[in-house]
Amino acid sequence: MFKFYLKPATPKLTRVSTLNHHARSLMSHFWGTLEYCAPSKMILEALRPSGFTKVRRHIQVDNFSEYRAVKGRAAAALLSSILSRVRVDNSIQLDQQLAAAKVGQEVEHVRVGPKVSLQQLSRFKVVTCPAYIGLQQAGGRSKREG
Amino acid sequence: MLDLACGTGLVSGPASQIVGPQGCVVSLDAGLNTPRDAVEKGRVDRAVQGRCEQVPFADSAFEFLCKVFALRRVADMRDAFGEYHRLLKLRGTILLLEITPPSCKLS
Repeated sequence: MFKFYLKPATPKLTRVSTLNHHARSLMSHFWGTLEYCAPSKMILEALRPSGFTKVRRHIQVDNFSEYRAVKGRAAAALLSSILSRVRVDNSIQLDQQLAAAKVGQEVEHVRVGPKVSLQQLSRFKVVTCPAYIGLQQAGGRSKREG
Repeated sequence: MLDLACGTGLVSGPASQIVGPQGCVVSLDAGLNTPRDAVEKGRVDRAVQGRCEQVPFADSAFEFLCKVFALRRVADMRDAFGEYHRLLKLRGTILLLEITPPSCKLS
């Protein structure tokens, strides 16, 4: 029903209501792309690693989704991003792994234990998003050097 | 506020009324003519032509971002969301509206 309404019906209604055949073509193209609309799971999974918190989805009429998210504190966003990419468990290897890694090293698969601090995590170049560059540099080097 | 993929300004217009004279709504669209059309129609105060994946604004420039029914044209969502995250101020909100594949064949 939804597909029928949007694909054939809406472009024709647009053509009639606007008296413009270009409008019909535009609407056909627009609604034609609905075949490839992104699954909600993909959107939600992409929001969290990007540093957003409080990610919520609200559904209307089974077909319309509203996604809302908040940019959290930089450290929290970094942690969120890291946790989405690493395996979270109670491993005791964490400290050893972090100690062995160097500042700026890309660490994608460290095991995160319950006692890890944000300062520890921020020592490493885990996030590639440019927004985090300042945080990566500020993480531990300045404290140790100072 | 930044209205990403603003089109002809159907969202930016009401948003301008909501934020009032003290607020600022900036509309961005990749189309060659749509930003200008949106301004000429009076729906949009400030329109910028540009891609949503590489928005020409400084970090933390906006308190609110919205993207309405244009998410399906994004090639890489993580790249795009990373860019939106960069643009938002701390505790800023992003709002995305998108059509979802129906959960059952009848709908």
